Amino acid sequence: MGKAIVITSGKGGVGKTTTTANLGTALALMGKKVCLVDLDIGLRNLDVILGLDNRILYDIVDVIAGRAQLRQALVKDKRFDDLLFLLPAAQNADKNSLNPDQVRELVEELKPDFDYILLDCPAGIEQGFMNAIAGADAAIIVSTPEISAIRDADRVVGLLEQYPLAEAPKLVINRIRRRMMQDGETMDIDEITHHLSIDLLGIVFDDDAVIRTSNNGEPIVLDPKNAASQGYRNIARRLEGETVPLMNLDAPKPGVWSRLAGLFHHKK
Amino acid sequence: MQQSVVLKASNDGYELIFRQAASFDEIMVDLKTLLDRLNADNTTDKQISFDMSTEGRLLTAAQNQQVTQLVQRYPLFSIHKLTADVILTADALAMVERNTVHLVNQIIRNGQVVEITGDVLFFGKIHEGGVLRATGSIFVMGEVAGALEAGYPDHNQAVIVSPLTTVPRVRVGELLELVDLDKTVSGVNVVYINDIQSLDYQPLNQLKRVRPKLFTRNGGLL
Repeated sequence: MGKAIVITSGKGGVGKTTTTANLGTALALMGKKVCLVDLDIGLRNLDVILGLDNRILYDIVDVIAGRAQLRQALVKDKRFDDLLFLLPAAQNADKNSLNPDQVRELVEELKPDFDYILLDCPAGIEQGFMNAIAGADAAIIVSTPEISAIRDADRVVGLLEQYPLAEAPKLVINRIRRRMMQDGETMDIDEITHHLSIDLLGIVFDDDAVIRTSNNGEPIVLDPKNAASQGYRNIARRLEGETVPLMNLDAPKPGVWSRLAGLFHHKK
Repeated sequence: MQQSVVLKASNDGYELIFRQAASFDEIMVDLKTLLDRLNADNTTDKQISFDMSTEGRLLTAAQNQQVTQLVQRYPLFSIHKLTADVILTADALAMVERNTVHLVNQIIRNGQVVEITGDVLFFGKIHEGGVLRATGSIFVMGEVAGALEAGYPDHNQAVIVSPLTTVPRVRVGELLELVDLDKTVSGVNVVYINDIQSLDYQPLNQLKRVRPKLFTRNGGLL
């Protein structure tokens, strides 16, 4: 029986969808069978990040409305042998097309066939949020080190206390800019975790390659050497119960050549 | 047979006791007989005000009205007070709730409003955007970056006892204001409504002076 985890944040643009795609992919790389459910009705893009946007026949609203079977709507990611599936969101429907009971029922139907069901929650705390948490056993709160994102994450943790899930929510701090954090320009990891008073599940460094790869429909986690990828892979391992230390915040030192180049640059 | 209504005289005046064992209907009959007799015996035109006790019986509003209406028929008689030795369980619980200092140890997050009936001794954390609201006073030992509202909605005798450096907004009773650090004192502040009906800030050692009653109610609920 699988576990349903909602990925939420309150604030938009902090990386919920990117986290869902990468975490799902990382779990599939570990041999787990994963279904990603895009609940951002009307503004779907989980399919785009995964490079599956051209393979959608039916969507979640079709399934709920009885126009398609659940199995017909699931899009298989061919890069993984029957391990990673996507249930896409609808483009031409609004968030009121679903209600919490319907989502709960759908997730229950998926659970026997998957190890993980990751629910990509829309931004905000209205109907879409209520739908997304209805089916979940656990929650991952994604926040960036920005105060506005942390404030919204706090609000969402409060709402999850009001509608408690089986497990307490866990925190992912995304898009960490190491130098800014080291220089004290943003709150550091301990401060954010202490402030929100929830367990830290992992950290992900900001990296241009995340945007570059997702533009190509390839989650960054497929590149084992990338720092952001390692962050997502560590989170996946922790979900599986492994003890993995947090990644070092020290920014990589510039190599000899770039330092030399810098010297010449200054002399100009 | 024992009377269902007993008349007693004391230095304080006349007392009518409605026996608990009797039915209310019997009491009404006996009360009428008794009042008729008293009225007939009364040779002066002096007003008599009765203290009435229903012992271990709680009269309903309708029964209360019946008794009042009966007494009103006699121009010289009136009811000083009508009391019972018992109260409703709900009222008792509400009274305990109001008079208890509640120990609260929780995180109040952005957007959450925690409402408490009575006084609060707060050990938890209030995040930015959170509100702790009490009908009584608030005493803070935890971290507060949210708003504190004591004496909500209109109990102007309530106080807030807390450091205020990170508190953006306070309310006591009906008065609400943004914390102006120039008006506060360093360390723990006592926030209260002063004699000219405005919010005032005093150091902790002034608490007993500004609200002596806080310290005089130990051991009694009423």
